This record gives sequence, C-alpha cells and structure tokens, in this order.
Amino acid sequence: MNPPPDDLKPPPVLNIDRVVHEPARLAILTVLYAAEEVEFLFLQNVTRLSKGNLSSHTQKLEEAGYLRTHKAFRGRVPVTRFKITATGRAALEGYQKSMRAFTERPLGHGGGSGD
Amino acid sequence: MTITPSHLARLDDLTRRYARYSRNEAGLGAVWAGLCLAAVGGLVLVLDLLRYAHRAPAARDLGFWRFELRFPLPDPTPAVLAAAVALPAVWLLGRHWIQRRVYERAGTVIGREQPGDATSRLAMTVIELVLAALVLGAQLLQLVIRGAPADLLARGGVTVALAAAIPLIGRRLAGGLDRSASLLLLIGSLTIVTSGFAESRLVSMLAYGAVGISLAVSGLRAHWRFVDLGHELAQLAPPAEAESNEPATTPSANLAAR
Repeated sequence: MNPPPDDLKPPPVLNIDRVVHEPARLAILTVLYAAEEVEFLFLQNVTRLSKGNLSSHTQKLEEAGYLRTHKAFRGRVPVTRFKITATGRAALEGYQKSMRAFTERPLGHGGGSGD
Repeated sequence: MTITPSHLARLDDLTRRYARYSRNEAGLGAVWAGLCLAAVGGLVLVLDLLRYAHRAPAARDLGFWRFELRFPLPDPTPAVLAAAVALPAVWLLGRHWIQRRVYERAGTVIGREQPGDATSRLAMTVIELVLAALVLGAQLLQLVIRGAPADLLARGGVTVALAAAIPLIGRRLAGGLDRSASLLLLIGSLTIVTSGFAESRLVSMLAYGAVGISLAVSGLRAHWRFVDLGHELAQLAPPAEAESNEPATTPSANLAAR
C-alpha cells in the first residue's frame, strides 16, 4: 500500500505530545529547560500551581521520562530538585517545532481538505 | 489552565536571569568581598603605621620612598595574624550565607553552563595555580631572607595552607568576580602572615581599595537588577487557576518585598 500523499497526511499538530501539551506541564518543562536544576519552591513560584498540582504534574513528567527528581535534606528541611532529561529536552523541542509548523501555515490554505 | 507563548517566553527569560545569581552573579556577595578587601587593606595599614611608629627616626632621615623600600612590614600581632587568616574563610561563609538568604529565597536554580564556561574556568584555574606558586615561593623566600623568626614553621605552614587554598577555593566558585575576590583576599592574607614585602604595601593598598570599590559598585548594580527581577517574579501573572482547588502558596511575594 502506497503512503498517502503529503496533502492527505494529518497536520503535525495532531501528532503533538499530549504529556507536553498540557499547559502546566509545558510551563514546568519550559522552566526546567532554561536551567540545569530547579528547586520545587521556584517552580511553585513561577508556575503558581499549588503543591499538590505541581507534584502531580512533575510525577507525570517523571513517568514519561522527561525529568529526574532529586530529593535531599537541607538541615531538617526536605528539598526536592528537578532536572530535565535529554528525552524531555527533545520532547519540548519537538513540541515547539510541531506548533510552529501549525501556526506558520495559514488556516484554510493547507492540509489537503479539498476546499 | 491556558498559557500563551509570550508567557512561556517570559518564564524562560526569568528563569535564566534568576539562575545567574546561583552561578556567576555574586550581587551583595561582591559588596561583601569589597568590604573584606578593604579590611585586608586596613590590616596592612595598621601594620604600616606600627612600622612608622617603631622606626620614626629612620623614616625622618630616609624620606618616604627610601623608607618604604628599606623596611618590611613588622611582624603582625597575634590578633592581626588571626584576622588575616580568618578573612578569606569569613568572606566565603558570608558569600554563601548571602546567596542562600537573598538569592535563593524563591528557590534554588542552578543555571546551565554556557559554551565558553568550561574553558574560562580552566584558564582561571591555571592562572590561580601559577599565582599561588609564585606568591608562595616569594613569601617563603621572604621569610627565609629575613632570618628565621621563632615562629617560622607555624607561619610557613599557614602560608602553604593559604596558597594551596587559592585554587581549591577557586574551583568551588563559578563566577570570575568571585574567583578574583578570593584570589586577592588570599594573597592579602599571605602578605600579612609573612610580613610581606614593604614595596608591595602601597600597591596593595591602592589595588585593594580600587578593586574593593569596583566590586562593591558592580555588586550593588547586580543586586538592584535582582530586586527588579524579584518584582517581575512577583507580578508574574498566573496562567490560569482553573485546575486547582487548593489555595496556591507562592512565597515570591517575599522576594518582591526585598
């Protein structure tokens, strides 16, 4: 069977990574991408998510292999730090590329819908 | 929850600027370094005044420059010696305290290494090693030439330890400004511990004063930029709160208040 012609292929935006696409996780990955290592407190400050929400999103990102968590103690205070993985970097870059491909194509002028 | 590309760009920019203070930018730490350098300069001045007090007739007969060249600084008093040895450590502790209390208040962020960072760090380490060897050799020679004082072994030991600390401490500091400050402080301490070259006194005083002031000024400017950054972080509009039922606890308000 021949592959569908380019015009009939689904636009790249349909292949987006749904783990990254969620706005809170996108914000988290953007912050992690800009630094080597980021503490939970800073992520909470800039994303304005509650502790519970932030934990849940970072857990999902960790399950996807997009970040690594490092827990330690500073004195008696537990400190959690996150680091983006190479997979996470690639995922964010791929997501940005997909979105750019979509946003740079004027609506109604592509995708082979036969208009 | 919704988020816009401009919000993401802002997050990226704020994170990068904030992270600089954990790696390269000392801020108030530089002001503190300036004060410590001034303290070293002050200690040398105290020793110098003691020298003039002890040799007032010679100073009158020889004139200022000849006197400067002829007589080394007097042996430091135990208090001055202790202060000289302690200063680099006091600076380092203060530097870390300031970083933790001021620049990591909204959470620690370690910045990413830039392409040239590794090379410049290596170059700085080589410079530090060469300087440490030169300073160590010169100061030990000075101790020997002046005839072994009773405490030569102890002061020689302190000298070796301080010289060895130059590259060791430097390795733990990422910023060029931090490394320069540690280098100058350690060399200043070495000068005092070994009673130093008389000729180096004026140069030391001028250099330490100038470097101290420039460190303080650049540190203050960096700190003001950080204060602005704190306001920007505090004003960062939340993308949306739709998902959360829990009250968001965002301590960045503390940062803005600074």
